[in-house]
Amino acid sequence: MKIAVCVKEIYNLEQVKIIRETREPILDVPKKLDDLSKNAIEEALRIREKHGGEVVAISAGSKDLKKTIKEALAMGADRAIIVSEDFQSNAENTALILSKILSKENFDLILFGDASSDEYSAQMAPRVAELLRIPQITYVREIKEISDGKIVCIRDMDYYYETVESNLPCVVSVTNEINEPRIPALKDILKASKKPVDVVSLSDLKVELVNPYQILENLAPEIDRKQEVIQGDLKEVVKQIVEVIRREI
Amino acid sequence: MGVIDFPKNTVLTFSDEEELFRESVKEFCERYIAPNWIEIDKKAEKSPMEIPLDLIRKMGEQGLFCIPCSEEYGGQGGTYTMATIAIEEVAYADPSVALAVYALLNIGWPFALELFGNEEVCQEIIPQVAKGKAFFGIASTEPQGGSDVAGIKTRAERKGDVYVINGEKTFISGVGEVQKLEWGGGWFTLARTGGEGHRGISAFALLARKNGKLAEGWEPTIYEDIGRHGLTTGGFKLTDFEVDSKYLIGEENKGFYHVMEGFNLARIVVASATVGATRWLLEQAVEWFRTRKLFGRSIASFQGVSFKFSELYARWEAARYFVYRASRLADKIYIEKDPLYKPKDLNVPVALAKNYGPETCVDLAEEVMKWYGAYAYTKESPIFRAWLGPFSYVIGAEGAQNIMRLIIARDIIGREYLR
Repeated sequence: MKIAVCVKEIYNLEQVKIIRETREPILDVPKKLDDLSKNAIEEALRIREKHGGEVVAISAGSKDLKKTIKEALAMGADRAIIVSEDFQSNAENTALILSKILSKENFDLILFGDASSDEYSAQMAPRVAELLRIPQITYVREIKEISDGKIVCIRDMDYYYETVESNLPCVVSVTNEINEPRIPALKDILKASKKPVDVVSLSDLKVELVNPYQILENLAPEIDRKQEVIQGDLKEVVKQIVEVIRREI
Repeated sequence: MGVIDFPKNTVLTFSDEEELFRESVKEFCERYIAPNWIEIDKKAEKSPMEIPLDLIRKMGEQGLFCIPCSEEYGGQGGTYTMATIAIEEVAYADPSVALAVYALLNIGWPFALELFGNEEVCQEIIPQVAKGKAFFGIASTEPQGGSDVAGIKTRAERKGDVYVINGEKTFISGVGEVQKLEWGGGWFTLARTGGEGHRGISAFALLARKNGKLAEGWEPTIYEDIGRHGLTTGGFKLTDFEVDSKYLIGEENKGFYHVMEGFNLARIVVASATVGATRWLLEQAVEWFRTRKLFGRSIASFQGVSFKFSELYARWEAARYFVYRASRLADKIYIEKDPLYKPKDLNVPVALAKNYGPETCVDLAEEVMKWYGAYAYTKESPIFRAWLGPFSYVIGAEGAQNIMRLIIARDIIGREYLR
């Protein structure tokens, strides 16, 4: 099996602070691999352990990506292909870049996290599948079987599970329920630096980037505390709490 | 990242690998240690032999022991700075420092064994320690005292291919772990093979239990500590305890010099553990300051509180600098083997770190408890656990504080002026 895992670097959200007066985020914080990308890598590694083959981490991001991608290699990916330069970052452009990289090699399976912890738009897997004109299975909580050029997955549809079969090659996006990502040990981290990372440029890929929309503002939401104090005996307090819940939902 | 971020763009900088390693240790700790440390401390407080064996095994699988030991001996092939990073993070997740101390002993002493021990013994012990199946710490203290290492009374007599050891060791970490872990383990220990003074002492890898079998002539006792319960402390008597001569570490009668290098290495990570616990305490303080109000004001608006906090915060940054300066120097000497640096160059940097780290931690813990008020005096609050655990290192574990002051004064002023 030749498996591609498309991963995303995000700001370390735990370290992002908000300027109270302007509600703007301070983004001068380290970047890291998105948590759901780690679920996708973990799944790819488990498939490789069972079926053999190769796991290739693919990503497009900032100049920090050369460092961030090491996390994917430390987890166990065999090699990486990345675009690591400043470009107008939006879902459409990233999908164009990833699909160009993916189209250069014949991957049997292309894995994604179903969304990313920063923007959570869940667009990337469907966009890439459409650009590559191959089937897609999204919100996968379990890969049941891979055999004879087919894959069977269980999708999490919130209120029910759906079992889907598809031909390979196929794009699969996974939820965080699919596995618990391994934590790379020191030996894996030291080995990661020696694994090949192919840094490709946008000009090499000949991608025509687009600018379909602009982010006009990126501000933290303003939440006013209601500061309601509920007092009284137990019966009265319960009654008031129920009223508040009813009013707010 | 918590409330206290690491200071940016300072003299303390870390490579990509080191930062990635810190993140991985942090993730491991958030998943397995932080949610369980209080429970581990509580259980072992009631019953010292309640050792977190599953967690030790998991830490072994994650490669948190024997970090600077060579891969050929089953170590991780990392640096001493990487070991220091790991210990800082483990102690931040378990500020009672029990798990950090378990890990640091099983980093510093297997590494000291690798530096001076023979290959066969390293091959036997280090892989088991690295996997979390055996414990390997230090046993030098005796009933008459710990700081006077040159005055030990335990004796080893050579009889053919074996040394027969008689004596007693006290206040030794890992006496319970050696009995409970799958393989067993033991200590880098000292016994007198020559005349009086430090030139008559040899070092041995003493295995009280191996392959699950207890050695004859080893009689352990377990003590009840006041803190850091997740790691056992005890003592043992040695009666005609036979050690094959291959377990002699380094040269006969040179054990004092070998153990002093081992102490320097171990003290770096001890100080790192207290720096990690201090970070946890600083965060408890900041979170409390941001919520607690008295007399209609935030309690940090009282300068009696905030100035003390600032002072202790400064001491934390200084301690952290001392710790990593010492670990970088240890890397120069023992990993890079740079001929410009000698083992004795570590004396002052290590003594500064070991002196500063634990004292800052304990002083801060006491202040945080006062800032919290009566709640901190109850066992509901976990803060006392981060006070009593690190306190062990102010009392003297891994080198008394006044011995650290003595080393600094001796090496800076000159030995002859201190007599």
